[in-house]
Amino acid sequence: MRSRRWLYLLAAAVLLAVGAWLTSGGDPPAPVSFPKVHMPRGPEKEDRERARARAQSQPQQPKVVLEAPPGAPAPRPTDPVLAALPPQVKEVAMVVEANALRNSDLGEPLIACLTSGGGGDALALARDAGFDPLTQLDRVSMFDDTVMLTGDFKGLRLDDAAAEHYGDATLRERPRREGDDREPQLFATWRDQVALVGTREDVKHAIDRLEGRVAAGEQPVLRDSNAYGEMYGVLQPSAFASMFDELDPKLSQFIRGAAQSVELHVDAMHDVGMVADVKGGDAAQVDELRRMMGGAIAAMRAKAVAEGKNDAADVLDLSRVLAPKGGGTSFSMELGLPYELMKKQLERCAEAGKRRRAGRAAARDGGAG
Amino acid sequence: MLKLLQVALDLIREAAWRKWFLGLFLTVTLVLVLLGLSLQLDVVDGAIAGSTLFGEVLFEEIRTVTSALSPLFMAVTVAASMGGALFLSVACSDFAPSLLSPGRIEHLLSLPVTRAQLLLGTWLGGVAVAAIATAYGTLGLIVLLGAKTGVWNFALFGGALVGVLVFATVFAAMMLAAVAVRSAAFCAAVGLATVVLGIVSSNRAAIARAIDPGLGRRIFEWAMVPVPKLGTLAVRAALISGHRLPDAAELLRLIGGAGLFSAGLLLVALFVFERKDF
Amino acid sequence: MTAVAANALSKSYVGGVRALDAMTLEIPRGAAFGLIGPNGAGKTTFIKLLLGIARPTSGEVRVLGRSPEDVEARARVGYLPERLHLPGAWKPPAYLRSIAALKGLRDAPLDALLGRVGLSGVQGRRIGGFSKGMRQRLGLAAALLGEPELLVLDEPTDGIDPVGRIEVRDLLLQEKARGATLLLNSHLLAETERVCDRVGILHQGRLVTTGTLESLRVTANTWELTLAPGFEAEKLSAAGLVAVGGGRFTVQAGDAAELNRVIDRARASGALLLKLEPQSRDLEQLLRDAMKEGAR
Repeated sequence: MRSRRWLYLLAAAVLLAVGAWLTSGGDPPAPVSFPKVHMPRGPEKEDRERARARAQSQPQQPKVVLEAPPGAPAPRPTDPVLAALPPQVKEVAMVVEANALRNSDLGEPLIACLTSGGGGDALALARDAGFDPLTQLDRVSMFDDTVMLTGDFKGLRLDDAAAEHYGDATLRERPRREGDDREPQLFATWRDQVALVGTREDVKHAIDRLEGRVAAGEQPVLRDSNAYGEMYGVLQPSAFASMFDELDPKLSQFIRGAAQSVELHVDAMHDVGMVADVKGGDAAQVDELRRMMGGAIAAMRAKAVAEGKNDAADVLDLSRVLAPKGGGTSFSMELGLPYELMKKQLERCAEAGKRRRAGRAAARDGGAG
Repeated sequence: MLKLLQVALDLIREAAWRKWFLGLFLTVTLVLVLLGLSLQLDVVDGAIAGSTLFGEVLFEEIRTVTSALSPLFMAVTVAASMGGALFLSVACSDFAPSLLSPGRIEHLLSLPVTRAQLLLGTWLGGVAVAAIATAYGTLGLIVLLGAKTGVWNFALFGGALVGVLVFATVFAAMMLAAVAVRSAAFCAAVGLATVVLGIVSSNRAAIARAIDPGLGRRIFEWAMVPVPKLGTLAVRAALISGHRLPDAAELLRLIGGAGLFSAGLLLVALFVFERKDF
Repeated sequence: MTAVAANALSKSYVGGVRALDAMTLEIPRGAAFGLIGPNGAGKTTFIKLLLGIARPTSGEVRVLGRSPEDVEARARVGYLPERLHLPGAWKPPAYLRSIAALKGLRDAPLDALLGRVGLSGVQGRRIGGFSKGMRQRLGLAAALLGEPELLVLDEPTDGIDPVGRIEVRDLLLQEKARGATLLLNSHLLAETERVCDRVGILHQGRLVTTGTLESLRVTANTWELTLAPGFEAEKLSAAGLVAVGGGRFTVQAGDAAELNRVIDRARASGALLLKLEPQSRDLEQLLRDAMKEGAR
């Protein structure tokens, strides 16, 4: 009996020692914090500094009205990327701050992802032609079927034998690939600062807008005040609605009827935060749309949980539909992608690209052998 | 085993009549009813489109129920784990001293029950009382918010379970205190001190850095070695409640550490209890 | 077969207080044993050692042939402590059910038991509202659960009214008749005298004397004579009789022949013998004598 009692003490000492060892492994308690993603809600310091730097580095500006008479229309944007945009788009107008993205926290994994697969070959081709997208590309903008790049195109080596000139731009026919039945595409460069790809008509109109040949009072679809975030743009309701075609056809249909435009801003300097400002005409319809959007997020989250996609569920937890504004005719939606998640996804993308590339190389070697 | 459960059951039955526990259940019920009447949630297809509490607008945006409510669940879990442990340290302080009271312990020891069964049964009973109170509050909250939102967050039970473990550890220390000195006040003091030490232990590295290097810091570091990190455990419980699963390996180590600490203390208590004459 | 066997049992408490000093005692099964002695004599200590509530410093005690630490032994013992703590919020059946469960009993006849101790009709009342006597009766019912082979009762009639005491006494006698061994610790000597057939007297931790009540009562070699009026006291005194008063005398005689010689001398002086019996002491006298002897 007595020996059993001492056994208790011995066992206690062992348990306390093992318990202490286990406890020593625990980290100090991290404060309960909710993952927060920075959302672009207006021009910030970085956006303003970027705009100021561009204004200073561009001595040749499009024509601007310096002193507007009273009642005159607002001045057109001085930024060529904004100035080249049409007053209306059929589907989408989007600007990507490529240089800012490259220098963001996600820049490296993003480039690793983009250059790991076929993107690596495209990069090599561009470099061979005298343009390094990683150092010379500033922004990319897309408006409907036209793509516009800004950066330093001085060193671009192109065969200009058949080139024609339009204003300050040089236009070249893009060779057509076999089976490409689209309208013939032009590749244009403008003052070594801008490159454009699109149909002849679209490219020429863009150059007109760049050089100020526009109707009085015409304004581009995005203005200086809209130019914030690392990606920004506008979507027509149909383009926005098509994103929900599969998930919720009823919602998709409702968006087409209730929304008039959707403005999108993405902040990607560390995490990726997206804000979509949805505008409509009728307050009641906009409120209904707002609720449907909230419900769609919840449904997507429930689906993600059911499918075991915890990352997606976490992302959707960071999503919300904000309170109505503008007298109830508009509202904002937010979607946050945490840095760690984005980094993980981009790293996975780079790994997959590498594997694809290695697979292709092995197949080539096998074919050659 | 059955006798151990009987001892635990008797303690639960006795606790059910105590004013402390009636008060606790009444308070939990009152809070739930008040919350139920005052919290207005505008729910749309599994998302919350807005919320008011006592007529004050909490938020108007629409977000998923989980993200809208997880801060609430997490806050409730931390408050219940640490606040509950503090409350129960006082409320349960005379469980063990009462077991050892003259006229009772003699009678119990004369029955065909081992001392180990009496001690562990009392500990289990105390932990069960905490678990019942926690389960009541948890279920109430789940039902209340589930009925209002249509989303049933059973993860809160997981958090509550880890939270109860915090009190189980505290109560093991209280059992040891009681068999050493039969005093409810001393028992409560040891319980409160264990909660505080558990929080200090959770931040031991940061606190050690704040102490001048030398003997004082070394004594502090050594003193903290066996103390489980109850604060960290409460935070991890909150993460479970809020659907933010903590690192499983770390959680298991924390739970294992607290569990073995409790078992160690109970064995020391048993050693003292077995040697004691009444 | 012994119910209780103590061999050189000693218990010292911290500070050197010797509560029990080399106590050796055997209580046969079926006996009703009364443990008497002044406060602090070691009676409660002995009971605690007997039930494993305290542990001996030296020596050994066996209960129903087993160590008191053995739960099997304790399962066959019923105990009523002197100051029994009862849960005030409970009702009697719930309390008895709990004790029955701890004793490992199923389907114990609780109502019948409550009736036996005089508590029928109070099943619905909370124990907190009970008088001291009712509490004592409930404690007794708990001790009687499972028909124990050994009943250890510490002041069983404490707080019970005189009529109740008679009821309890009858109940204990019923238990004895059933075959249970009784170990009674009561300060009411009359009660012990009525229930017990054996006693042990403890004084300052030592067992001063023990045996059957009959054998202890009898004072060795002393006889008591009752004579018819008309005797001559001086002649009787000369014959060796000592006057007690009221026609009663005592005689010291080593054997029957000597006793008869003394009686013959008394009768020869004209005295007429009415009654002759060995002199007997009551328990109080017995205790007093034992304490005196123990003090020497």
